[in-house]
Amino acid sequence: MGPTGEDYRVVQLHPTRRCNLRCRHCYSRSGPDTREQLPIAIVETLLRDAGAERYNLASFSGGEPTMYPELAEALACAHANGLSTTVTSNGMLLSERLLERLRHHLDLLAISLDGVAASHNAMRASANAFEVMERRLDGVRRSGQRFGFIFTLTQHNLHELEWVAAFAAAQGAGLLQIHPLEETGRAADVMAGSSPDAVEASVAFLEVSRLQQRYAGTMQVHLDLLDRRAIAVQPACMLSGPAADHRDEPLAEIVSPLIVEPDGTVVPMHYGFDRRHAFGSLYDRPLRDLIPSWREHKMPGFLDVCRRTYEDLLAPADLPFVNWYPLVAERA
Amino acid sequence: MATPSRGSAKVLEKLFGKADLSREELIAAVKQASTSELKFVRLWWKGTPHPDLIRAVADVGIDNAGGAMDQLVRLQSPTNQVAFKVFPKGTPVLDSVQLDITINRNVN
Repeated sequence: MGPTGEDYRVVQLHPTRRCNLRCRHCYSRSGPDTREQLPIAIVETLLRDAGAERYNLASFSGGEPTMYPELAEALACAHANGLSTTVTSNGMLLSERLLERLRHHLDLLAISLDGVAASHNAMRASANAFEVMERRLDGVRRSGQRFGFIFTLTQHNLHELEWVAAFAAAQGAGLLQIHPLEETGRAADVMAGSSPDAVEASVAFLEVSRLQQRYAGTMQVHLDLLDRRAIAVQPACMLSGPAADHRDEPLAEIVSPLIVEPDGTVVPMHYGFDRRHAFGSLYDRPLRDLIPSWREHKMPGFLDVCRRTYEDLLAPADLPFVNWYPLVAERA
Repeated sequence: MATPSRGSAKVLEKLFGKADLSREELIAAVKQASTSELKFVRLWWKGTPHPDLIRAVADVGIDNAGGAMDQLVRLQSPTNQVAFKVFPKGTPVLDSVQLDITINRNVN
């Protein structure tokens, strides 16, 4: 069992790098000038193989996934293969027509929200990203689509989280997920040094605890940080048991999330993960044919990286919160 | 410790009445919150939300176990179906309990 828990084994797809925005914190360097996207036939084959490997949640991100022309077909294919579905969107293109096409096969819509209007627009390098997204929310509610918001926590914006939570709750969201900025892709270029340090992470924990109490029963508030004291007693969660234990397990028990990048490359755990640990490209072979070679040649190295990261985290630290995925990616 | 450029400065002021909490004070605050709140050990990746089901394991100090279980009971509602199992820990003296928690949620 990996850090996404025993109930959800996640394959995360980035079917396109096309986007109507060029966000400063984008880890995939997506934008309006980019055309890279995966053919639907490759996506559908991938989802079939993922279902066979016991993945049960397909999460579509991007790029802006609503700009992927066959998103509705991909969601339907995921459902047909036993996977629940989520889509993460900037919310600006959520027309009622599009929502109607998606709603039968979309289990949860996650809309990005990075602070008050001015902060959100600055992060999105757009004069009106917030206002356009906000105007779409009426339609989202009318469609009956279940939805939540995702907030990117930086070194500088924790004080806006309370406003974000109040906005999300007032809009009827069921979820507010707080994810620390990861300095990958464009974020590494233009937001270097902006990911939250141990102090910001700790105060975020205190603030989130307060908000969890305030919105208990109405909106789930979730902070994507690990408490190293909690993982110390659960090495299996961090894939740090003996490698032999994983020999006969389905892939979903070993690698979650499994990341499918827009160029067809499949990597474990983190967008941009070191290519020495990659499964290969879906343009060359389907996932089911990439897995045996990865198990034989690369799985031991991947598990070793997880183990070393886990052992580092066991060292005493006064402030306990860490972001597991970039730590593993850095050590890889 | 906190500087004006930190987002935490205003939050600390709101929570503690001052923006320059010492590291020791912050450590104490986190420790207190950690033992009185539940620590969810599941970790999502950005863009991978799924709020329907929460499964968590929490280690709670024996002094706070009653309060933690009371919080769980109070989470029970038409939208939250809460179940938990309690495992006492520590020999010969009981010093903490492990709570295995499942919360099924109806999101909207």
